[in-house]
Amino acid sequence: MGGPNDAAMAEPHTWWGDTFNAGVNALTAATGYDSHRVTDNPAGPADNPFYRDNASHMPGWGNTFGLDFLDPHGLPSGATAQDRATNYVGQDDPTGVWADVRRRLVDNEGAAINALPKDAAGNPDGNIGFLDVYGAHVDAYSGAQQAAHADGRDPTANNSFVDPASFALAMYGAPLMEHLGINAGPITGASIDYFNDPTDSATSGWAKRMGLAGAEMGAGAAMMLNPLTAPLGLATMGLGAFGGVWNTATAVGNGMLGEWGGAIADGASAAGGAIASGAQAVGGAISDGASWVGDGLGNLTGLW
Amino acid sequence: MKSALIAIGLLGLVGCMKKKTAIATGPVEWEPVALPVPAGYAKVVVKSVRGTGPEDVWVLAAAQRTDDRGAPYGLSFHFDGTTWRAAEVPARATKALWPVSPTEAWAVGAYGTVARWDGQRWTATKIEGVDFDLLDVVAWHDDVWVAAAGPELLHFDGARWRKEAPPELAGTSVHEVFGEADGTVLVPRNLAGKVPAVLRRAPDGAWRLDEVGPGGVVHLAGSSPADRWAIGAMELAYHSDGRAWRATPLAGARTLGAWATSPTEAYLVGVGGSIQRWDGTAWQPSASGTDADLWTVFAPPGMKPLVGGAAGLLRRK
Repeated sequence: MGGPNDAAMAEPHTWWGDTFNAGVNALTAATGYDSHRVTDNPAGPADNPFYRDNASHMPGWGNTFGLDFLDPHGLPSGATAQDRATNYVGQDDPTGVWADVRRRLVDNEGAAINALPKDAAGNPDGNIGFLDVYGAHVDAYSGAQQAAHADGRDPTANNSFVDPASFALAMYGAPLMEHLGINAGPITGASIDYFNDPTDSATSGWAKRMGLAGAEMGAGAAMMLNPLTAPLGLATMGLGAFGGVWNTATAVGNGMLGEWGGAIADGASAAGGAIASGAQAVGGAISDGASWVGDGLGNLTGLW
Repeated sequence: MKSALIAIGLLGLVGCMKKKTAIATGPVEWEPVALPVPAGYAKVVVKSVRGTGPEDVWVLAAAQRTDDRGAPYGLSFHFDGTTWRAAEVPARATKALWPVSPTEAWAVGAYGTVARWDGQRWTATKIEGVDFDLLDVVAWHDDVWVAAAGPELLHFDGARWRKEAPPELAGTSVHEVFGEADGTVLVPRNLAGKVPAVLRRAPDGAWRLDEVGPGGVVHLAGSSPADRWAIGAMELAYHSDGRAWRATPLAGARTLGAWATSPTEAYLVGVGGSIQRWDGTAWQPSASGTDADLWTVFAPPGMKPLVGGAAGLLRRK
């Protein structure tokens, strides 16, 4: 059942790339995730060839910027980025949220492809755009999370989708690694697991991405100290700042403040309970003490 | 500002640690079952256990070939009451299985892949126009129903596949489907703002919605119309005696699979090796002896229950 682009888009394997990815996989394993290919783990979902089969309709360096030579495997970088993403995340998801995301992405991007102009044979002709793909992801995350809320599979799944600048970096930047002989799958999967997991709460996802934004701003500031790297440093700081603002706004939109309110209410309830218990204990002790004193006095009275 | 960024970064790093689930304690009530795994396969993970009775039990598993990096394979194991017999299944059809008889069974999986057992071998096809994963299946002869995380079911009528989307499922995401002996199809119906329900398709084709109660319905099981279960992910399971649904609290971790043997015997399996047993009164934890996730359980009358998952196949002692 090999697809038309399976051979062309096969992951590169070099000693340096495999060494790099072994490090990535070790780090993700240490934190409870799995950034191997889903097909390396029989417990995970099976291979999803949608992005390989539809590679020619995806956005990439060539059809977006006219820089065809930057597209890996001779196919749009968006195909590589999404193939690596879908086939390197969601291995261990008891909530079913990832299964829902995969379905909705295929539905959304498949509909965008079907809406393209048709060639003489009636087949879609051309490429969907970056915003088609980004919008498909935002909708897929939101829809999958709402479904998981409705049936109780994951009532706290509220992590908003990553900002468009970071998504663009994943779609156009990560596939460049494959020109260097490094399979972009593990780092793509690890990045999603850490910073864009749809099963995270709004607060957890926000905190992770703010940590990333802080790191980007710090790295950018360090690069600003050298005139040669200052422009890149400025861009990195800008990416961090934009991501911080965007992710805060979307996390608030996804109910982060409500999560905080619930946590505060729970804390207040626990504190109130503790105070009440303490007061009850103190009251009981006083009562016991008074009783003991009373008994003592009674006994003394009895002696009289 | 700097300390705030550091604090947020630390919070993010801590948040990156994935939560683990504690396993049940107590005397282990389950033992491994040795499957006849063909030479050249390793790391066998059981995805589905189903059957029509003690002499027609099927196990669907995904496995790795030891001689072929990165290529997953599917295996089925059929038990005829005496011996297990292994067969290869197309790699993408390893998500769920439903047998009709020893000579007809259906398996589904990734990218619209459906495989059919004809008594000799599995043959896979891709449903045209279906590019997404298929998650669950129930079947009778030439009457196959598939759930695929969408607001519809896929139905094979013996001639062709088509999407069947009753209006009650609009806006929902159906992950599981269950079938009763008479051909009744049961589907969880969960929609924001609506009472969770079971959508039932009678053999005559009529759909009917039964409201269950709050909390959500994720799994369905039952031994008859007077013994149906609608089970939530975490806290509650509802039992129907054919007249009304009654809530019962669960006693274990997140549920991933269910089977009902009779009104006084049912099983739930879940994450971290969790197994719960219904004794007619309450759900009781049952120590599996594994902390691996368990996804599937099959317990027909007359045989010891089987559960399966990342730890392989287990049988109740």
